[in-house]
Amino acid sequence: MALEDPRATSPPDEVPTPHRDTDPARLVGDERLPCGRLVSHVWEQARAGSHRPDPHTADCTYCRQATEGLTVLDATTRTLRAQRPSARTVADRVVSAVRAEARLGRMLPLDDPTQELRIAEATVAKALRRAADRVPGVRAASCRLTPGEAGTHVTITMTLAVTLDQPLPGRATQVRRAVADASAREIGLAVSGIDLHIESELEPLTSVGPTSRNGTGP
Amino acid sequence: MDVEHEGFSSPRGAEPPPFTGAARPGEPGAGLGDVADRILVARAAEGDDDAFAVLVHRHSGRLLALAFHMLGNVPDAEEAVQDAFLSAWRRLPQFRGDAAFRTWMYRIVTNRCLNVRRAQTPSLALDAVAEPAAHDAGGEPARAAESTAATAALAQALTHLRPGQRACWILRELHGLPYGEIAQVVGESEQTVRGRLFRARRTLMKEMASWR
Amino acid sequence: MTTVDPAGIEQTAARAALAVPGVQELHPSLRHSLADAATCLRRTFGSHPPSPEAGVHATHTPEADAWHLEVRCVLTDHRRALDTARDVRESVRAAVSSQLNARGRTGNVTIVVTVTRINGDRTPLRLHAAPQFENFSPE
Repeated sequence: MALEDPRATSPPDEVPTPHRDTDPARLVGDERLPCGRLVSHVWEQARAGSHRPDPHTADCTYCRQATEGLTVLDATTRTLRAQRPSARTVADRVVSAVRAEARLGRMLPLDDPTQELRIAEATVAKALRRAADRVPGVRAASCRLTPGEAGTHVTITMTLAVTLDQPLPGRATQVRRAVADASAREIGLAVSGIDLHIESELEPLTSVGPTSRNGTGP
Repeated sequence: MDVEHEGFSSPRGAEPPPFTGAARPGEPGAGLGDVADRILVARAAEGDDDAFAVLVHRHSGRLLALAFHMLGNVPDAEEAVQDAFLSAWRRLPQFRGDAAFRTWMYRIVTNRCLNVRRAQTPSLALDAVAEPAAHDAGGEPARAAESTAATAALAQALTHLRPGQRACWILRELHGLPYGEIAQVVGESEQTVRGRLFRARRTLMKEMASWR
Repeated sequence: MTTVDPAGIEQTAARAALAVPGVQELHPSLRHSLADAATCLRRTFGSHPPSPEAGVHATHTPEADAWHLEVRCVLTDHRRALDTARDVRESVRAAVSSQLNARGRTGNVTIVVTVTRINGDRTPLRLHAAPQFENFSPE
């Protein structure tokens, strides 16, 4: 990735640390103070506060210097973390731009003798995935459609994520039926075959039921 | 400035509430709010814009926050996130899923922000940056104003960090990403990330030391 | 006998297609989309709708006096896509033939109907974002 090498753009901003080079550990993301303590350790101690008082750090100038600004930085970081612009406008704009820039895929024949009626692969796939989603415990992932040589029929290949609380063959039958039904009744597609691949397990907690399309769900 | 305070949990806070879905029932994407990114990505890669819409709504909040803290203003941040999502939509068919979608998006947005910053003079993070010397220890309103001013000062200090350090610090301290994921996002080794984080923290502590 | 302008045919076809129940709108062809994208994507992010004729492409072969039309439709999911597509073809054929006949033409007309999208709802597409929470657990 073309992340700029920071060293090329601005001078070093590190605090000079005379003991650093003599430290055999060549610490990355840390530093040993002249008093022998690691900066990260001093920071941890400072954050722990009075729970673990340390006689050394109370008196050590190096340790005190190393934690200057830590408390205020931590507190201010929390405030900064909570500053988040609303993303709703951005999300809505992106979604409409993406819908305007549809990736349609290839054109498939609808089940009509003239072969003058066609439908975009992405649109069929969306409808068939939705049909599979309506089977409880099932979510469709990939759905590909391949036209046969005659150019009249298509083969459907779908991968599924399913919960394992039901026998798989029964699930597959249900999905097959739902997909065949949607092909015939929603689209009007001549289907020569339906290949289902169960690819991953769906966490039962996250898949409580079929896709609700009429607002009756909780 | 159009910034909402959404009350996010602190890094050491309680478990976040569960994600409750991205679409009302009956709308495109309804019922997909519970679906893992991986499955939505497989669908979106094949041109399913409903699936992509769920991903957009799921991730736009944190990505906009990233861009906002990287760039210091909302309009530039919005543009960076929009461009990143459109680029992702176009590149999804080639996305092989080696990394998580979240990491991939963080990476695209981070790159956009670094490129934006290279192309223009850095804009000031917040309009008014109060001088630390000006604060007096008063009552509640004074403390609130002071806290706001300190936050502005930190945002300003962020703009002075080297871009690579700034990215690492924001991803770690504001987004809570693990070092390994930050390394993937910025395309550097974990060691480099740790080094940058350390230097960023020291610089920011120095800048904030005059605030009590 | 007068000459027939493809733009006029496209307008007639677009009106006829939009009158079919189950047709929500016409889908602009790639050439229109690209022109739109170039001009308005950055500013308005694709918010202005193209004219309906952008969803119809008509070509005329003078030697055979034959017309070929491609109509790209966005449908609603209230009807089977195949039935709506058939009705679009018949509606467009009737309207275009009638316009040609009125100008003394009897040429052959072929029509390809392409369904580009099926929308689940007539209301504007709008997902609402649920609040998002991040897991900030320290390592």
